[in-house]
Amino acid sequence: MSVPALPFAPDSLIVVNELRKSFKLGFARRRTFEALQGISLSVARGSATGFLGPNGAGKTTTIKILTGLIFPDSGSALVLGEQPDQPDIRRRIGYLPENPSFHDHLSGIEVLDFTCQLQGVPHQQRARRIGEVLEQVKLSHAGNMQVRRYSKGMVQRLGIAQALIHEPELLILDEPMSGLDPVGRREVRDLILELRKAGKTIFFSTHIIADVEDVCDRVSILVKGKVVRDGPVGELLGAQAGEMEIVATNVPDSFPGRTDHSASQMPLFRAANRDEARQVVEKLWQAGAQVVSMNVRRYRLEDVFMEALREKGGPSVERPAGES
Amino acid sequence: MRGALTIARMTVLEARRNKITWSLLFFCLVLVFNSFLFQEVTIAAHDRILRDVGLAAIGLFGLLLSVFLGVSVVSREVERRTVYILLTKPIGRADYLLGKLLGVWLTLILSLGMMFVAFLLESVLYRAPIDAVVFQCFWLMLMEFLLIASFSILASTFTSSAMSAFMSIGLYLIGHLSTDLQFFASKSDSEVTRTAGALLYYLLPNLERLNLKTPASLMATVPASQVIGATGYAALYVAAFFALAVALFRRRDMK
Repeated sequence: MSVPALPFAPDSLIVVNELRKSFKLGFARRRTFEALQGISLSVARGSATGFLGPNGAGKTTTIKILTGLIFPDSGSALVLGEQPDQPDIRRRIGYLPENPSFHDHLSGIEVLDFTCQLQGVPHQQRARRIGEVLEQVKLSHAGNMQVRRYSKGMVQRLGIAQALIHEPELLILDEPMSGLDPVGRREVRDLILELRKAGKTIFFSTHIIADVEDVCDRVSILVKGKVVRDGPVGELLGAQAGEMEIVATNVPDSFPGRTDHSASQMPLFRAANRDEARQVVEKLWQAGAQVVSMNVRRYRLEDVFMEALREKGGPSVERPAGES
Repeated sequence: MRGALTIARMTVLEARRNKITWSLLFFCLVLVFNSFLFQEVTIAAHDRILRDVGLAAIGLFGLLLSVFLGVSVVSREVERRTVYILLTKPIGRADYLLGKLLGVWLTLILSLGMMFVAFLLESVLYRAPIDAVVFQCFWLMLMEFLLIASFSILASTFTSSAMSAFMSIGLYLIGHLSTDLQFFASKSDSEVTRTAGALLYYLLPNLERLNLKTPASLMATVPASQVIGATGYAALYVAAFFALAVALFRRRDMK
């Protein structure tokens, strides 16, 4: 794989350029599924980048290429300036796979001790580091328990602990909030924020928009194997700023441009700017409607994401229970 | 190399805590100690019965354990996804396989060693003579099962655990019958059958070269050169199997 001419910032810890990967399917392996269709992205040092996409978009495939678990058909991926299959760079990377799995008969402490040995953590520091990360992921009480007795959430926390144990500069986390209850999710979210403050570079995949909105300064949206949006969260939201929303009652059915307000189910109208909004309000009054409110539309990442999905005809986004 | 040793330690610890390993060991130890039951139903050659049953029990245990441990190394780790955690640590894939191979070997050596000690104790208890050929037989049995485990690891780098187990037992059977197979194939009128028989004979290991159960049973003398030659023969196959496993595993996608 040749090193590409980088169109990205020189301090990027991850640089992906025109990456393609397909899988052969079926018994005779005649069908081909194109998981990645030439994606490019970069992750700057010290940033927290969310890799957002619906299930089956290609997030895990990308992450597996970045960690050397699978090999691309074409294109290039550089992690810390090296090819991902170079073992030495993995000392500087912490990786959490999707739904991590450990050797059942080992205890949490043994898993972390073996991880320390493989990562080359000096012997005299191991016990201290194991204690620290178990505390960080709230697993101190279960360190001596065999992993087969762990709940799904505890396994997920152990997965995060093994990714942090050697204090890596780059964290690649595949669905880090998966399998956690709401309290656990909040704790992991806080932990990621804490790591970000400590200067770690974080790249994590999720299909839950709120996770990215809360902790990331940058987002790449992947739909059907293609990056459809990429950039700072603020910039992506700002691109659509300025739109106005008008909520009204007693609106005649024939009045054009009506949608329903998601919370109140009252008729809702959108306008590109203030002047247009004023014209809509006047027309509503003339039609005998009563205007309840007129506000600047507050854009959320969800809107950007849904728009990207609509453009690509992708599947509907999965949302966590209780998320509005 | 340090990474390989860590993986080997992890493999031994995992096998030591696995109930299947202990169940197999217990079952075969019972079989070894029950040799005296077989003695009760024979009127002569008590010593020979003791050796035959004891060595056969070790052989059965060795086959089951080498296949079980060998196939669980890669295919079961891929199926259970534990391999994702290990292969993303700073060790190369060849080191990972080497560590797994060493771990499986160490577990086999310790388990078969325990059974052989039990067999020797029983022999002492029943005042059955122990000659050098018994040790030579055990040594070559150990080589045979290290070879089978290496093949299981090779098979598990490219197929499922069930298929790897099936192929490993197939190798064991063909390996013990290859001389007969080649003999019958050579008598065939078909050129294809003759070539296939010869190919199987020369390509796959002839495990009968590692089988000294009959001389051990009869307390016959076996020259040391034969044992050394057979050990070298097994080592060559182990090296070939491992090299092939590394070549196949190096670029395998961990889907």
